[in-house]
Amino acid sequence: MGIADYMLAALFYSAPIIIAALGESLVERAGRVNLGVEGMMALGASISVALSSLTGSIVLGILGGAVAGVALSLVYIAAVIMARLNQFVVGLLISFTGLGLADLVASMGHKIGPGIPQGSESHILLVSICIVTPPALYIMLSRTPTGIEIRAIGYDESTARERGLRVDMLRSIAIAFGGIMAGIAGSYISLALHGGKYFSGITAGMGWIAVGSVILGYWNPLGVAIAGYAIGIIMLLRPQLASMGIGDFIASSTPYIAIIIALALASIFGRRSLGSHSIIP
Amino acid sequence: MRVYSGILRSYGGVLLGLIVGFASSITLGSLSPAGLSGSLSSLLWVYTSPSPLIASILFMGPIALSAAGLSIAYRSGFITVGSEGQVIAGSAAALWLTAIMDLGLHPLQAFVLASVFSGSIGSLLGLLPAIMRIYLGASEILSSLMLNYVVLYIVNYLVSGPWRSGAFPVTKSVPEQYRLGYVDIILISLATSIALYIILSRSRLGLMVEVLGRSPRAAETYGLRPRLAIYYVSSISGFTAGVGGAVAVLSFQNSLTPMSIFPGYGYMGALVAWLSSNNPILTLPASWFFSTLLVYGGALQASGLSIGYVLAIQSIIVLSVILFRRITGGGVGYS
Repeated sequence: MGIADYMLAALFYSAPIIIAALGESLVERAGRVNLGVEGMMALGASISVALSSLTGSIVLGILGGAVAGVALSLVYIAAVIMARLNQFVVGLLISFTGLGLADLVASMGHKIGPGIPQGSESHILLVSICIVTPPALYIMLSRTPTGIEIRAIGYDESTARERGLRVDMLRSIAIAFGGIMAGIAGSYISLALHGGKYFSGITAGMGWIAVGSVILGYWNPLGVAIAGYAIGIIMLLRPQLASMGIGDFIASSTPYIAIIIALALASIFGRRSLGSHSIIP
Repeated sequence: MRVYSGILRSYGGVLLGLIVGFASSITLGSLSPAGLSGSLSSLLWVYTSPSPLIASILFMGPIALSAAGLSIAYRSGFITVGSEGQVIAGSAAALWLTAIMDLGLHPLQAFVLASVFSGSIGSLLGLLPAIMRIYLGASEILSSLMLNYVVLYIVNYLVSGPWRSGAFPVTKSVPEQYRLGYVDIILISLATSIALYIILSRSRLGLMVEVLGRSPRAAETYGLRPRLAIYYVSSISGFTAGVGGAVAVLSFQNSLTPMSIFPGYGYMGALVAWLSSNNPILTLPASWFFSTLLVYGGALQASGLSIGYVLAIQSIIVLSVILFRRITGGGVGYS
């Protein structure tokens, strides 16, 4: 396999992490951390398989995944934005709920319908999302009024409120966007990476890695995409590293260790440039 | 009026938790291949037959021990979920001591040694997120979550590599004489809960935890040291979760196989602590209720459901109860 093929394979592999991380980066820019990404991804993965095998359409499956992500992020909005419960606790509860419901949907069986069309359209469609979104999100955040308002509410909530910004509204929109992206990322995992199959534990921690990639990419959409891609390369290299005599467990835990280190570094240097950011209390 | 709202909050919360628990168990169960009749009869079986009741007490061990330790950590505002990794590491440590080393100890000696060893490993794992929080201000929830995966991969490596005992990736089993029964589990969980309750209500550390959870600034004004308190609560919660892992391996688990998903006892401990308002005594009945749901989930597993489904029911219970408490007046510590 040539280096170019390898880089392309890594892009396919890291696309779900990049897509979910881009959504989460907007949520965190708006001043909240949604730890429900893992569950939203799992539910998206499961529902998209059920819907595409029922209808025979990949696009409908992906849409179903996005709707699943939004549904869970509405719970987050109700509990965190409206009822002001602890964002971390609610995020974890949503992750567990999503993971369990995903297994339930899968167990209900979906043998009826034309089945999932095999092919590369789903790959191309989803990979293009993760190529187009980073610059689009970057321009949105840095150039458009909405983007600047979202950064403002994340940077200094009370000042933004005094200036008359609709903090809760903007934040909810960002959270819903995060849900859509996580759901799409989930449908990518099942429809494209696993050839239209869902099994328990399919997300394999990619949701948590996506949350970590946001820190690794320092909350900048372009950086987040690069961080997600780098993690994809590491994860794809696992078998090679294992055959070189480096323990599989070292390769498997590298993304998590990298995120712990990134969290430490961001905590040391972050407060100056990001204001009252919520992952760094 | 305030008295009534207090009663409404505590008893209403318990009642709501039970109703939501049974309602969601039956609804979600009837959507599964087991169907309505299958899920109803499984639920009835869990609460009326001796073998599932004993199983639920055994499963309660790691959940109740993690929850008791976490309740003191959460009171101080230290929101870690590292208990999952600590339970796994504790299981591995106890298994290594009793099954792989097999020192030929007296059962009581083996239990004490395994608890101290597993608990210490759990404490060490609890210290990393604590140090990152104290010196760098980094959120402990994310670092402890990431650490869980690192622990899972290390234990999986040990189980499928050096500790493998035959053709299949399974370790040796804990010898019969070291195994714990359900009476032991009740005594261990009860003793831990009471000990932590006494620490919370009678000791200087308990006062420190209480003040720190309500107002970190007030804690410093009164000359209490928040850093020291975080060290204490992280190592206490790590210790109890580690012992929970030892208890799991000595009672029902007996041997380890590579895990593709988390077993979930530590996460359930966190859910139980949130559900019982971080009261170490209340964590006991709450853990037992959650482990009956785990047994129920195990019964439905035969029809093709994973155990993650149980974690979903439990999360729905916790979310509705903490929402209810919030709506009926204020929240507790971590809200």
